[in-house]
Amino acid sequence: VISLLDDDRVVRYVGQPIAAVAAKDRKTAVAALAAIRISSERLPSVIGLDAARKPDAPVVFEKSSRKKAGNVSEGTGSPAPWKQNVRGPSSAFSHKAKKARSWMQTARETQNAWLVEETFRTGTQQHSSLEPHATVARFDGDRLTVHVSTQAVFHVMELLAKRYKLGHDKIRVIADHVGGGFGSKGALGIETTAAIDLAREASAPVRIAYDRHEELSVTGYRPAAEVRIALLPSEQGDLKALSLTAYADTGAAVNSTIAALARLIYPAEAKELADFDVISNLPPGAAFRGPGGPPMAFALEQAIDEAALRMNVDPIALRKRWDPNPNRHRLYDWAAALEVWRNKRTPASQTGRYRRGVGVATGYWLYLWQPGSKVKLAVEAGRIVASTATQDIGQGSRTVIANTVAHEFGLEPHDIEVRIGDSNLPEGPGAGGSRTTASVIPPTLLAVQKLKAAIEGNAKRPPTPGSNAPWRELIAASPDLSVSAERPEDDKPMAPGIRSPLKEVGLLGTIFGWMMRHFSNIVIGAGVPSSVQVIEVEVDTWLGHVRVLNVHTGIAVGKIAAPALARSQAAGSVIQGLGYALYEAREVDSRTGDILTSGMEDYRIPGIADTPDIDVHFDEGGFDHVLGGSVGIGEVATVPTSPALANAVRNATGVRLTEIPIRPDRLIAALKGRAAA
Amino acid sequence: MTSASMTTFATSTEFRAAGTDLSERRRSGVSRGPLIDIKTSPDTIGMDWGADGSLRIGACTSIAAIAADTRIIEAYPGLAAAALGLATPQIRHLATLGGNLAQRSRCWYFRNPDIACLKKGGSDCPARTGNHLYSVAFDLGPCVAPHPSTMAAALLAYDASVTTDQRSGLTIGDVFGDGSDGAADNRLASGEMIRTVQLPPPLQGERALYKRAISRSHAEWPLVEVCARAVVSAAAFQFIRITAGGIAPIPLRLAAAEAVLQGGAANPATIANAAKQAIAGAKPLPMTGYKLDLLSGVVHDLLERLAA
Repeated sequence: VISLLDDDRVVRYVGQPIAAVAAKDRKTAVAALAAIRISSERLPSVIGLDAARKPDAPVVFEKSSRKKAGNVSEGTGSPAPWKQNVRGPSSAFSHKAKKARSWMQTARETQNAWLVEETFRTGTQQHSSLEPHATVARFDGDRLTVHVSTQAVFHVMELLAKRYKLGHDKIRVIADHVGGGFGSKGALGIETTAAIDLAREASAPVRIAYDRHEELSVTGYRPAAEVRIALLPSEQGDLKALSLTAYADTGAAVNSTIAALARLIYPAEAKELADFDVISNLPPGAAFRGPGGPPMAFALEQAIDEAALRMNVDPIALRKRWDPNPNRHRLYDWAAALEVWRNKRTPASQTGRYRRGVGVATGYWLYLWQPGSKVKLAVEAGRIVASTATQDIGQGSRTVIANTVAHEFGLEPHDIEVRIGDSNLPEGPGAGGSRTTASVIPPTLLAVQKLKAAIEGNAKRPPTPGSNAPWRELIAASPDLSVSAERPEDDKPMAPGIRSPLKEVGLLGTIFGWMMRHFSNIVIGAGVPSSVQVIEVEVDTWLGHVRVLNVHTGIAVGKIAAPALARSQAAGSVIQGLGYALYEAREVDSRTGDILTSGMEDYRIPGIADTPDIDVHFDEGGFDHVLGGSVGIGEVATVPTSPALANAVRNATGVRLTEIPIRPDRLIAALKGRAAA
Repeated sequence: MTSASMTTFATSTEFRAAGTDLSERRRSGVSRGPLIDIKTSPDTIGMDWGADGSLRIGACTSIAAIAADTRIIEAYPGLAAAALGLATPQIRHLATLGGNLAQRSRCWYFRNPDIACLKKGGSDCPARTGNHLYSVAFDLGPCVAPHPSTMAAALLAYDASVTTDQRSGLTIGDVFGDGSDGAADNRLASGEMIRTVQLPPPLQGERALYKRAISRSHAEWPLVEVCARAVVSAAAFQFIRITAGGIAPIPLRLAAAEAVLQGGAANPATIANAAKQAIAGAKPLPMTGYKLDLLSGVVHDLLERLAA
């Protein structure tokens, strides 16, 4: 039995683990848990975005305990004001904020018809990985082996080494195959440390695996958000000013970056951007596929759609006008040429029960890579083995590495043995922030060059003249060899318009980039992974039902290293985005915070019949300055789905849905022009 | 509201048919009493057709078997469609007719082992004052959970009767009561088990449909579900029966809508009027007003198709 309470013995969130028991079977463990006597004192509590913002709300983190708050982003947070349960504004990415404010005010006073103002609300989305958080820990003397469902075997090993004061060589973290993570398995989880502590106490291997109720209770979520937006075009039809204020329902966590992300797309003369974390006694939110991106896009991309309607400009043409990014310009041209886009109906022109509409939206993400990532290539018994301490959580990194090596040697992917998912292998990247592909391909290519030289240098005879597989012959005859290479810096991009998005933010961007590199070991590279989606829906206006007919997703992430898996990841991102837009919401009791959607029956993700035709288009340019030319897909592919869908509903019905998920009750209420419950 | 630790769960004996409902409640701890596994016998499994065209279905017959039975599809299409519309293929394959009728509430407060409620020995309904988005729009009793049995709603439309090991000739109304008992999901006595369900022969020329309103395409508890039977001839509704689930603590007959249609012209005006009357007597909760729109919508949809 171990206690999991913090040193101050305060339980801060609903579902917080407070003790763990290990036993030889489940029955004994359950009985032992029931036998624990807990004496407690009831402290005041507060649940959710609205209640926690009230001035008299009980304070969740006193000043002395603020370090205990979780993190809903991938990087380290910047300092921000923090009063009671509201942390913020984080507004470092604003640009001439005062000007933006005063222009907005003038536009309001003069009743500028092009001024778009709206408040958007997004629901709490859960990662819902098929494989729950799970750990098996065992000690052999002073050596610790941990099997853990994680997105970062190497990073978790480093964190464990620090926590348990063990050398890197004494710890082995293993994750052969991981059944999904989506951001929820990037850090050291309590299920891992509890299993290790129990294994040490019990001098026996210990397994902790969450059941679905636990998985949906305490493993994090994408925080719900309230996003107020004001968007002001100039008289000439340029984007003059943008204001975005986001309140995120982060639970016992901080560091939401929704508004800040609106800085790195659609340049304007002035932008006022403010992020607030609203802390309550709900479990901590966590990083989730493009943290902050989908709620930002839900507000911004609908505001742009609305501006296009008011200005009587085609929504794609307006984006081309306001968005100088060359990667996205190619995607806009692709989208504008789609038959479904060219044939779309005049907005709100239909009157029948079923109405069809088409919507478009744009997304972007940062191109991230992890310095220090290494790949080792070896010839072992006449076969090439590639190894690095990364892991595959479903994105296909094994295949990315196998394809890359095979291609260079003129071999088939199955000729290459790829070893990943083990922290004993050379340092590899975490599977988060879409960084894996861009972190492993460049060192793989460098290692290929080294290995070719080593094989040739050790060859006893050259390949048969005229052989159609000279490398296959050489490798088969080669003695065992090994080489390794580290992720190099990128070349300076030569193509016009390709630069780090942080350059838009000037000196502050440089500082932010430096902080990410030195505190989070992430480099924000040049060029912007981008996506444009076009979605067609059919709305049943009687039953408030949205049927998604087809989704066209255009993605610019450079060269595609593993086409089948890239397509699968792009389609999966769309499906998860449709869930966010239509079905998924973590529901709690507003008084106690008890989770109500604690199983997959009540927490609804899309099923196969809800999955539309998904057309995936890859634009393979834009990243020639990266060795291999490839960057990651995972996050950028899910960012624009919810606004594209809402814009399609607007096109079909004339009604703009400002809140997701677009459930039947909300759609019916919107169609009737009344407030939903 | 009270927390579950302050109350005691009912630990009465439960029957287990296929266990599609029970196994989840066992795992969560909401069900803790002893179990009795149901053994099938020839009369409790399969279909038995009478010479007059009536049907007796054994309570242990699977939902999938009912959905796929060609004779049921022909004689009782509303029942077959209801069976096909519920749950998932895996569940339908295992779940039984009797189990569907006698299943426990799907209210998320009831299913949460950490929360007390009327159906778990508690003294109040936490959903009534809490998050009741999926609760009733016909507020007939202290508990606001809609009855979960789709088959019950369809059987009500067919004037089915139920035989248990203790009683026979029970109407669907007898089995489910009037919704005033918040502690129970049905009026069966403790230890009473459903054995068979009888359906009278279908009417000459009748047609029937079933439909549920949900957010996804399949595999979701109905926000609203409706089963409607009609005999339409000489451009008029000679017979009409409309029942609904998902909206009340019991399966509900929509008598006001039926009254509009009975003998009325099978035209758009009558149908629209009946769709409006479908919500007569409704008492929605603060968050469930939308269910009335859905109820009108589903009734409208089914009547249009029945009249076509």
